[in-house]
Amino acid sequence: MKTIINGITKENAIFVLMLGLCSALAVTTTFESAYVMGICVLIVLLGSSFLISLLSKWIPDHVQIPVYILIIGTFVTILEIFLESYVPKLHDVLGIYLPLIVVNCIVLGRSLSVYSKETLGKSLLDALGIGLGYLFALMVIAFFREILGTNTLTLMDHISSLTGYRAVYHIPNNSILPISILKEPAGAFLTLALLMGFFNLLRAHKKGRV
Amino acid sequence: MKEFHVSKGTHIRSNNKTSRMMFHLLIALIPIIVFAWYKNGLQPFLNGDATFYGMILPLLFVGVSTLTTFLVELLYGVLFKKKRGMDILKYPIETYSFFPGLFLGLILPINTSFPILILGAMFATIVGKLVFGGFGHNIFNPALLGRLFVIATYGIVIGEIGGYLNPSELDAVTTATPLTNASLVNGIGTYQTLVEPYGSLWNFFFGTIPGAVGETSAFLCILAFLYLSFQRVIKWKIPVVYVLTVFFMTFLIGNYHDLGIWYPLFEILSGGLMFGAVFMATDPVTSPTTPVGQILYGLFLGILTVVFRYLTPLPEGVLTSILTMNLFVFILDRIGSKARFNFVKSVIPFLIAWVLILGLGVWIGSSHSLPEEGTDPNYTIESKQVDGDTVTYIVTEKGYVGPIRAQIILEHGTIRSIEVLSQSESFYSRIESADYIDRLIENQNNLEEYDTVSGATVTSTALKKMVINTLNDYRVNGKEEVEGEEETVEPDFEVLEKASSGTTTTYIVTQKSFGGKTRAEIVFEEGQVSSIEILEAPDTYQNTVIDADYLEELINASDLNDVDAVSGATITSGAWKEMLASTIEDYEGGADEE
Amino acid sequence: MSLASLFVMSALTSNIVLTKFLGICPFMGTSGSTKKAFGMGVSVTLVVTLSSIITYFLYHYVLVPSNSTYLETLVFILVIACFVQILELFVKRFFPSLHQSLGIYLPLITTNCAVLGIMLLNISNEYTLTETIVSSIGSSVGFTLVIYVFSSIREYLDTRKVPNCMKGYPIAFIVAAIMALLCARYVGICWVSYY
Repeated sequence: MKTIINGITKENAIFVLMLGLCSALAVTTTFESAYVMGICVLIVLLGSSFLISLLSKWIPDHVQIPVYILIIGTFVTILEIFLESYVPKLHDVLGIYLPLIVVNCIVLGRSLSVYSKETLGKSLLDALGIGLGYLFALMVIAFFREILGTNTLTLMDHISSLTGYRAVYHIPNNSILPISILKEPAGAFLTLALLMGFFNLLRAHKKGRV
Repeated sequence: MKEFHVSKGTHIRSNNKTSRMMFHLLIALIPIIVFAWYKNGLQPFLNGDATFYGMILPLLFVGVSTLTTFLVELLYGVLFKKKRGMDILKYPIETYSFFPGLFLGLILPINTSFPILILGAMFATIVGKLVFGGFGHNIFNPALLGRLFVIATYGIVIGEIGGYLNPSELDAVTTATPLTNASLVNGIGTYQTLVEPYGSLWNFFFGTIPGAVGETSAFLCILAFLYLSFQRVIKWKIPVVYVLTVFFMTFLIGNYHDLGIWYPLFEILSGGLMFGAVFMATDPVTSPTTPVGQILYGLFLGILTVVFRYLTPLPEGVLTSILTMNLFVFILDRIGSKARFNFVKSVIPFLIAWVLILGLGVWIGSSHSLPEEGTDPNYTIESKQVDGDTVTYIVTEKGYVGPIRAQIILEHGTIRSIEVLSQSESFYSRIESADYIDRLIENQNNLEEYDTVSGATVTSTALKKMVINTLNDYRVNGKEEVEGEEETVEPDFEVLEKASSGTTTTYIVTQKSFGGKTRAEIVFEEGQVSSIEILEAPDTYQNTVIDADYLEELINASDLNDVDAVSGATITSGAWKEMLASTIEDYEGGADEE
Repeated sequence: MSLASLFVMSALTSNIVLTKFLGICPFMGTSGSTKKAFGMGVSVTLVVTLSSIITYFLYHYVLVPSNSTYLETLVFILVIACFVQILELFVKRFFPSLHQSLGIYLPLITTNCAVLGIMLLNISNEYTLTETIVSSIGSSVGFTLVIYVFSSIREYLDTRKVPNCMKGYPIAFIVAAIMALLCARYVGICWVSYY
């Protein structure tokens, strides 16, 4: 249990470890694509940690990286095919960032440092923790970016072809909303920077007290 | 034994010098603030174009902006630097926190609303200064950052309520700021087209032209420059080199077309160049410290500004140039500090600069052409077909964002219809709500003097020119046909299928909207629209913004004109409105089954 | 669109770091030394351009005909990994000094979002071969420019009085945000080709 909480707070992939930022910046324009991406990464993490921790003993050291990449890549490709057939619009929205999960520093980094060395159980827990942390981080970023940047909150839009529901909320325009640069790349950097700074402040405060 | 005092190194040499600099800067700004008040507030009030509130607005504007930055840093001092007591007030004064606000107030359009102004000022202080560590540690000019934020985020909103034009100018001047006007003709024009709409070059010099709140008066900026140089608190090389570079490059460009000396003068007196050169580029924290670095800074600032003015659709370049060069300040200082030892290496950037200056000057001059009498470089006839007395033109004219493509049909030498086939203008809805196209047709013989649509000046001027050019072509070339590419003019709205059974009629229609065609199924039951289902829509962000609620609104609306467009998807929602309206029209027309 | 404006577009207005968020890791990693940054940029240019040619042929002449485009991701990443290995051996053999200075950057490029990202972009934009080459070179040049400028600022940012909570990534991203805002204003330069 502790590992899971660790993965969400102390070792949060985005705000603490600062890995896997490409996708974090790119898919957080809407809340929906953010959590979908988070779930995808979680699935890939779980799958890879499972396989890698099982097979690591039989994989010689010097071919570690290519083999792990293959394993991760396979999961990603499966996800890609799944999304393309069931929710093609989401596949388009996520664009090239879905295949980029393969080179996402978190997955590969974690595989090399943790899953290849730890037991199956520990690896799975770690994957769960990190994955959830990533998911939450993405949701937080996307929440701010979408609400402040486009006055909407998309909970279920494209994914409605799977679930059948639609839930998109709007808030009315006023004199300062929407802050349109937030939905642009510059806004992504800005939001991430300010959120990171904020969380750093929080951690510094906690350390200061303890 | 001597005691060695180790003190914190500040970025500026000594505190005394900094406070001297700031003091003189304030003094230099006073005439500018007064003039800004006069031009944007007092004069319109005296002319009767503004209320009392409008008269004090410029002062309020600058005041609010200054106060906001002051308060933000005060808050920062209290929360993060743990200042207490009198220190709370001392801190923001020590860090000259009010300067970004003061400058920001002077360089924004007067029609910026107060919430936006405050947000912009907060952005300028927080992201421009505090995040970097406060005074002396910022990389970018905070006031310019604030302006960039405001324009990038709210530019369109501000433009819709007047933009840079103060109350007097909104009535008198039908085109926008001088540089926007110049960008209509790719920057090259005659004295009549570029200068005269605003008066004479003296207007430009003294500043009675449209522009940001305090930017326009070149005269006062020069006075300020002289004063500050005399007091030796300004990096004088930068503005001198900057302005001279722009002058020289525009001279080359103008020379290519045999324009007189007025042309480079016009260019350096327009836009925020003078103000930017004297106050923004010389900001002590964000500009180079070495002499060679400063000269290079000025050179490249000039080059970039000219590049932006001529090669991009955005009319002004000072803002982007200065912020971009802020990034290179460290590299420039590195070159500058090595200049003494490594003379050869330091010459290279100068060579690059000169190659760019001369090369770009000549190239821009040759590639941008002066509109000759009767021909407009932005106008092209794609095709012209004659059928008896009816001539059908397909023409394009450069608008604000891109080309506007239209079909113009003449009968017996008079324009009967204009149908805009494609455009990507930002404010086209204003043209539509003003029924501009129909009015153009009505006034086709008087178009030179005809008004433009306020808030969509460039677009309406382009449409005017399009009509004028087409009429000219007809008068000159008569019924000479021009082969166009094989293309059928697709109608905007089309009924694909229509089926009735009992009191239910089902339509399948297509409507051209932003990004492509939308196909929908519209069902009428007992004379009323009962449902709309979008079968196929172009894959644009806009289509994700509009949802079922909007369709419900459309269905239930008794008068479609009352339904607002969805913000951020104006064209698309407008297209859907039109689609429904056309379908209703067809239904009520009682056409046969297809 | 003309090749010149495609180049400008991939280098500036669609800069892969500032608009597509690719290559953030090396962007942050090249701290301080502008020489290192330049070296990184050069190696990326080499790898990207050559790999994009290889992947172009693989995609159009192997994957598409055999209806196995879903293997795109796996194939591309394997190609990049192998290619980088080969390139490293090649450089080690024939340009040992270069290998010294580039150090660990060459193998790092394998797991770089940027390289795979550019390959995928080339395919999704359906470029022809020349367009692929131009866009790859353009993107890499843009990447080099950005990390070069950034590395010159980086030492300033690291040593100065940046507040603790913003040190490192946050302040870097603020600068990146501003650079991205500026990039957006360079949009019009593509117009050069229109007229």
